[in-house]
Amino acid sequence: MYKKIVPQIKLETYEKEVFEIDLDIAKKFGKLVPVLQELLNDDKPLTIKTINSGTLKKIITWCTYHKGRSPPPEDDDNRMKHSTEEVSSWDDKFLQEDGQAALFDLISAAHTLDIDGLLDVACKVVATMIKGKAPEEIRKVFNIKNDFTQQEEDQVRKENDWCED
Amino acid sequence: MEGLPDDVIVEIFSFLPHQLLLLEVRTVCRRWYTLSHSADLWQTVDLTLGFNQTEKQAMVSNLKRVQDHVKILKVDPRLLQTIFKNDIWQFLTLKTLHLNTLCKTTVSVLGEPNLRYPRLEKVYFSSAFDNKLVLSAFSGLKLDTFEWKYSGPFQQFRETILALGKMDNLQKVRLHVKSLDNELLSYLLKNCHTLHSLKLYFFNVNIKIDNDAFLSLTDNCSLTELDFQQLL
Repeated sequence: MYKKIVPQIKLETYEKEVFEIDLDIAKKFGKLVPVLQELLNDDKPLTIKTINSGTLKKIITWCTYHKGRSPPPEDDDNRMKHSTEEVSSWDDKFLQEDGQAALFDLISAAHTLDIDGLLDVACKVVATMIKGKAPEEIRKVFNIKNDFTQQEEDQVRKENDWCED
Repeated sequence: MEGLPDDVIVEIFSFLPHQLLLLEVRTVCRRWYTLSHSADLWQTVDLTLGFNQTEKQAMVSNLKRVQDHVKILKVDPRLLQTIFKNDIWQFLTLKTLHLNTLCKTTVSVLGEPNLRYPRLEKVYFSSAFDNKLVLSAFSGLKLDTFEWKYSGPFQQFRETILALGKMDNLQKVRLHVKSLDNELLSYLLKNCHTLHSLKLYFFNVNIKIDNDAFLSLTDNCSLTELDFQQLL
């Protein structure tokens, strides 16, 4: 019997853990694909120090789930409306279940590995978290320091409190 | 969040309504202030969601920071009026303007197109304009696309066609039509030498165009697409 050999690539995480990933899953890695293909016959893994093992596991799960699902074609007419409503419930749950820090790690990794579909959907989830919140709430939720000087803040506030006519 | 690179933050912002970028997002911190003005976010601007008077004024003054990036603007005419009332504004990069409203608006909302947005090429209206005046306001521009969707009374349809005939760079025209006869269609086709796509939408009207005249009209012009649609 002929056994099909699935080509795999090896990635090493921040924790020095090596993951073997099927090439057809790694095909989601945009600009990295040619690099990874060259490494196919190499025993040495590609080390990506900025990605931790937990995040890479999530990425493999996401890519496996979305294998064969191609992103919807980009319609130029619809560029006008960047909607956040198209996130599937699977994606929404998957992205949020491990908390905010994990989500941002995932976004960072998706950016590094150039996984457009994942980056897109994760950014939409974050955008949804920003919507409907006052600036103070946004700072609190995302742990952002208000680093405007008093003078700058007055200025920004003045720009927003334009006098009514 | 703070560990994310700038282009990822901008990508997140790209999924937020422009109103939010002009009002809340920019006040969060210095980095967000800077990134909310990124050129990438302001190529296509949609300001048609609801907003109150104070928000409107603030949006207008903040929009000024990004006006040089805007290529496509979709806006409520009353907001456009506020924009042009406050200051000397110029959208030097603006190529496409979408105006949607249900209320009657006058030509004053457009400012002076030659001065305010001299490089405009495409106009999409869906409102009750005084179209004769609107079109004469646009006469100095090199428009290639003109679309006017309007379901109200059509007293000035003839004037619209006559004004369109004076624009010498038109390539695409979409109009809702009340009545059309040989003479009017012939005028449009003869005067717009560059016209290659014409779509006319009809509301229960009679078209007084006979077949022979129609064929001779379309024979001698640059049209490659002609579409008549009866709307219910």
